[in-house]
Amino acid sequence: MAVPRPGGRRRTTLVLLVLTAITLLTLDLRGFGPLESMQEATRSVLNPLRDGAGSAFDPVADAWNGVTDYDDLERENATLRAQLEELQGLSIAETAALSELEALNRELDLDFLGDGDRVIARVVGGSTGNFSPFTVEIDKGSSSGLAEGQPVITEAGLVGQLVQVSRSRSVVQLINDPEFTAAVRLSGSRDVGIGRGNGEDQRTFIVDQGIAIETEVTVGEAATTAGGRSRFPAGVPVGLVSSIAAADNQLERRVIITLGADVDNLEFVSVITVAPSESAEGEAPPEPSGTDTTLALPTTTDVAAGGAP
Amino acid sequence: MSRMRLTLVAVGAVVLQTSIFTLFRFDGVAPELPILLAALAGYAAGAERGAWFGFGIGLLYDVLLPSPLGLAALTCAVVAWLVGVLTSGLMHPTWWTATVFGASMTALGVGLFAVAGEVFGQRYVSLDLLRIMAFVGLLSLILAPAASWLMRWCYGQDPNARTASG
Repeated sequence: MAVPRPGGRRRTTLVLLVLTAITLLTLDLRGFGPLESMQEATRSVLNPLRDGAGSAFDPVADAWNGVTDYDDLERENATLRAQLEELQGLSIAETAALSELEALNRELDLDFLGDGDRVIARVVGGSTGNFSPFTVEIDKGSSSGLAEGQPVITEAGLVGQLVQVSRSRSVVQLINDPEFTAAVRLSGSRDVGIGRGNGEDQRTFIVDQGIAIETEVTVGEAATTAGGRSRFPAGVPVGLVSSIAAADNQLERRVIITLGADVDNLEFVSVITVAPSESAEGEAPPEPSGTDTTLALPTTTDVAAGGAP
Repeated sequence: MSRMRLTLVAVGAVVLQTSIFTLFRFDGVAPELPILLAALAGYAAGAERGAWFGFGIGLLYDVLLPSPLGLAALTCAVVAWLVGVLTSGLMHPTWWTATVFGASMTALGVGLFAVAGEVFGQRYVSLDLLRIMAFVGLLSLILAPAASWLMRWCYGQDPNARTASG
């Protein structure tokens, strides 16, 4: 009688496991519903344990980061001081501008960012692995009305979108992820372009599609989300134009936007729970150019980037 | 008893990895405890049993990672199997062979995860990968003795000795 060789059995096991893993990968990438439900159920069991463990070790982790990131903290401190001085100078002018914008919003009925449309969440962790540096976890999930695809903002502007939602936690894909794309509107020309995150540089966003080479763009002009058919509501600030060049195809402009929100140091964020289609109700799709009146800034001031709600 | 211990260790390790270890990063790199434990399961229990444990802990890890489901399971199973096969012929295993195998194969596992992710449409392979692998390997060197002890305890072996059963 033939006796099975141990080596053969070992290989069979490996082949079986590899095939199972590949099947799971394929199903997951195709968005197989039952698999999503099972994952969500497992996360619901594990997340309370993670919350407990994370809270217990938070002070120790802060001390560790204080030691290992001391140089970064010093640099960041200096930058923040400079920004604070600059902001103090601008605050009076901004107050006046905001009043005007709020009046405009009321007139145009564009106040989609009312308190009822937002859920404030605390950032409870960075990326869970070594290969997803452009994600953070927040402490709110489907039980608070969150769903995948919803935009995440701070008072300083767009931060990202929800890509994974479980009962009590969600994962946010940050705006600086090279895979993140959004339609943005430039405040000067009113032109709409498609931008993406610039992973190399945490604070910039690259718009290299949709802005024609002849369009006049000035350094310092504001960029907001375009709305319309985009999954993000119109008028959420993205940042300020910091440099302009020609795109690779020489037909369009490559506009670098310095992000308003500091995605590296998030503490509290707001999730816009109203569906983009609802928020954009009655709004025409973004036009490549011409007149448009969808400039709207967040009108509530309950959240500050990196601050308490 | 062994299964209960393995389940307990797998759940504990994944919770630890995704809540605490992500906070204690060294130059932005976090240790990879699930892959390390999978490697040491292969070392302690051999290729076949190690691969099953690796698949299980990897799958649990997958649920909490933003990467596609199955990627960590694939990585951990292959790493455990490789360690089991490579070390099955060791005549005089010592504590440091477990540490060295565990750490180096964990670093290799990180590379495998990135390459497999690339095959499935993720952008994980970059010049930074080598740095991540190196740091994960170094961090694993520190964790490996304790992790090795834990895996021998799981498989009901004398924690101070190693029996190759691969």
